[in-house]
Amino acid sequence: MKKKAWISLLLLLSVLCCLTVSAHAEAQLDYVSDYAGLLSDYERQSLSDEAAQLSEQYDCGVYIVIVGDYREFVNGNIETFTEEVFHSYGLGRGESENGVILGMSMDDRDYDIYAHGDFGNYAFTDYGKEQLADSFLDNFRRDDWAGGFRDFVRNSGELMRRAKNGEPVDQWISDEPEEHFGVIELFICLIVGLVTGGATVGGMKKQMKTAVEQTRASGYVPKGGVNLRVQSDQFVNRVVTSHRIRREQNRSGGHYGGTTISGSHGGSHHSGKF
Amino acid sequence: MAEQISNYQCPACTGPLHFDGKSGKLQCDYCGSSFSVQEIEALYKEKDEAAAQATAQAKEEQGGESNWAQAQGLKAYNCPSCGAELICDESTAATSCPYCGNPSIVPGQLSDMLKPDYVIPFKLGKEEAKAALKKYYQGKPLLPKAFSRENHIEEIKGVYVPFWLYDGTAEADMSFQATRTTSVTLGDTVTTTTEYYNVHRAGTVRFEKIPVDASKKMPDAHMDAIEPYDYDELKPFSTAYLPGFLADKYDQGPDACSERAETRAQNTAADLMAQTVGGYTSVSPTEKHVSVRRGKPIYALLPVWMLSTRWAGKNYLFAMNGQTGKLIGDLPVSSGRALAWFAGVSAGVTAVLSVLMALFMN
Repeated sequence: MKKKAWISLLLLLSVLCCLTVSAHAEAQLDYVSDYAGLLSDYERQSLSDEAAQLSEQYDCGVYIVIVGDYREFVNGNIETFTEEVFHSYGLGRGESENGVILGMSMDDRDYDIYAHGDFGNYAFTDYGKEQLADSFLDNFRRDDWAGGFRDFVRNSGELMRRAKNGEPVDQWISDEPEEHFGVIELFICLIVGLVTGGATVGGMKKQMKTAVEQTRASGYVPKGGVNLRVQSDQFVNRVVTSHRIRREQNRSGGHYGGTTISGSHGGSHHSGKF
Repeated sequence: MAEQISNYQCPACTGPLHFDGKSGKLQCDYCGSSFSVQEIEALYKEKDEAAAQATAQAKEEQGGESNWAQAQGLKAYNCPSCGAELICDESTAATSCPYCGNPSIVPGQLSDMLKPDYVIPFKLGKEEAKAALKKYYQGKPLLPKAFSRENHIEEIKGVYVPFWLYDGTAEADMSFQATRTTSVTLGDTVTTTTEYYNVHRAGTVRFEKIPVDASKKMPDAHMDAIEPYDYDELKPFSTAYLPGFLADKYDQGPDACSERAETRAQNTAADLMAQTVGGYTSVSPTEKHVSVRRGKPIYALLPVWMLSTRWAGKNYLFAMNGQTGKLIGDLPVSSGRALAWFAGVSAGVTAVLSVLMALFMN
């Protein structure tokens, strides 16, 4: 018991030292750091390799840090934790320390995506971070940790690729006043009303005609009467198609959502529960 | 010469006996005595055999019927109770005398090769059939009010309908093309992955006692729609179950009726095979081979109450399962009521939807 307490204390002290002292030191954290033991060594290493390659390619670091409880390291919330880890370890690449980090705390299932730097904030817009979170949250809800982290890394790559091409994933917000209920809406309501009326009367009419010849005999299959001899499902091929949702040309009267900068370091967050 | 018809008379008072579904016994209309089926069978065995023999002899001689009846494809018998001449269909096996009302059986119609293997006795009586029809009219918003008000039952009869019950095994071999599609949206790019699979299923499906009515007189749709019967109550056939009801012998042989049972078996086997293909976004059959091996059919008489009514110059026929009470039949539709319901529902939905949409948008 005593031994365990000593180890915990030493670990805590060493992490706190790192957080406070090495503000401008070289990056000491791996691209994927799993202190909660969610990943096997192989999974962690392959994710780390993939993150390293993307970081190199776009000159923007992609990181994952998983801990049991972030409160053991900082006073504040999960956003404070990721921000502190990012800056204390000197993460990020280039002059403006471009990077994105996914911080996860297992105790209360908190996560935070923190983007930093000119390119980091350009690539990881508020909308982009939201989409990124959507892409891995479904995995986490099924406790598919490796799958979720893979989605985070790969889709971070996609967001950076889009930003590099000058088209970051962002949401158009119209400044025009919302449409009001008009003739078209009334026409839609009328059509729905007529279809519902027709379906209701159709159902009632069906009730009036019950003398119908049977075409099935499922009630005459005895228990254990079905014997499936051949059951094969053979994979043939896979077709992957991508298409762009058409954006309106010459948009006016609106703007892209962009990135909301918060905190003292000039980064942006998207956090929540998984 | 022996009579071709026999009627079961009360051993105590010689009054006519009829089968009572509730007690499962034959009851005397006059003195109220009741007798088990086995008691009456034993008592009337000889009489029934003699009547069957007389029918066979009459067939050979072809002289037992009046010329007129013969020409119409009918048969003439003499009521053993009052002696009146009974003109019946060729297939009639049980009837009642229109003059004295006594139930009469034609054992020759249901003996030897024509003897049914099983019978399900009537469980529900005439009053229950009338009540079921009354209940059937309820909760039908499109039924003209005048129909249930002015409508009277013109005829109600309990009939033992001849059925073939088919056993068989369907051999099914089917192929499908199935797809599994997933879509991921990232920004304004939608990536769709479609996986294609060749799916193969083959197997057998066993069927037991698919019923097909073997009487040309009975409408197939009505007979199908009152299914199912509880076969646990099948009893070895005895004419003692018939007094008080009408009964026909089959006039469509097992081969003539088998197609309907086989079609039902084929469709069901195909459905069951298709149901085993799961977890896909879309499944479409590409090949289907289903064949049915038929076993020896069982000949059974099943209880049906037939009720007929007339309204606005049109006949309406209803059938009720004499065992379970399931009643079916087509009813007239009031155009005015249909229109009113259509207008009411359409207007209501349009109004509610408009208000909700207006609140949401403004």
